[in-house]
Amino acid sequence: MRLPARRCALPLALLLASIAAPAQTLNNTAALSFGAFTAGGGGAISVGTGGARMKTGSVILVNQGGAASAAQFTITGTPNAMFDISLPVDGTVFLSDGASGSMALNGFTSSPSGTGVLSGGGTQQINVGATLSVGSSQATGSYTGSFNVTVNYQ
Amino acid sequence: MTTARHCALCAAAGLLCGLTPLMPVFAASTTAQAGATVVLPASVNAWLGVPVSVQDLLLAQDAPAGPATGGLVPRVASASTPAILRALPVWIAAAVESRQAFGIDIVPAAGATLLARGPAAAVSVASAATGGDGEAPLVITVAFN
Repeated sequence: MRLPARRCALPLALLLASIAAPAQTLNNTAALSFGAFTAGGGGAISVGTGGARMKTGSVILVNQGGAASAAQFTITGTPNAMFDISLPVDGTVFLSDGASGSMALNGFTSSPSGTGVLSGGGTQQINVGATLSVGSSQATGSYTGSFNVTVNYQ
Repeated sequence: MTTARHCALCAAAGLLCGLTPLMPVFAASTTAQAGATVVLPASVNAWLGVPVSVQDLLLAQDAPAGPATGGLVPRVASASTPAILRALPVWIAAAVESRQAFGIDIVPAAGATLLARGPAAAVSVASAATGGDGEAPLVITVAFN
């Protein structure tokens, strides 16, 4: 009778520990916005994790009609737990105007980058930026799209 | 508890524990929206008057070479500038990449943004002829939101 009980102790403890661990959640609290701009001969617009907007090429940034901003997420889970952040790989996310126009969204970055640690309260904010490729004579209009972010406990 | 019950419980627990690292309770994923707005530019050189130089504008304003917000500069009126606009100043919102020292000159702008009060949402100094004397006509673009 005792031998089976000892054998059960470890897996049971592990099972109970896994059940007792708080669920990890990830909520998106702010969208990634590149604001308004004229396309000109094309170029790229980068929004950093702090929300700063930079451009290359002949794109002209317009400071009206909505500010640029980084995407924000809130992760909750086990206090002080480490986690990995998975961002979209290049070539997988596009913004579309609902017609034939599209722009590629590449170079995703996050803060914290790669890995992070939940606070003692079990929360952490993640900011995500990216780079938008603007084509020459990109069609005017409002472009939208979406992307996934995943966090995993280490 | 019988040995059989022990073994059954142990097996179940062991199986669950073995599967736990693969279970999604230790991962979370969500979707975020992303957006951008491409606005239509329109040339309105006459609104600021031509010829006028980047150097004139930036020296008059001493605009910072960065994405900082500058102050107001007088509008350069021309014969074709609408009367209602002549008295309105132009707001320099940014002069990114516009000031590059080249000897005693400031070479023509790679880009600058002038926000105008009035019907124009934004006026941009897109380029000027090369040469560095700062007297070439500007190519001015207005973007309407």
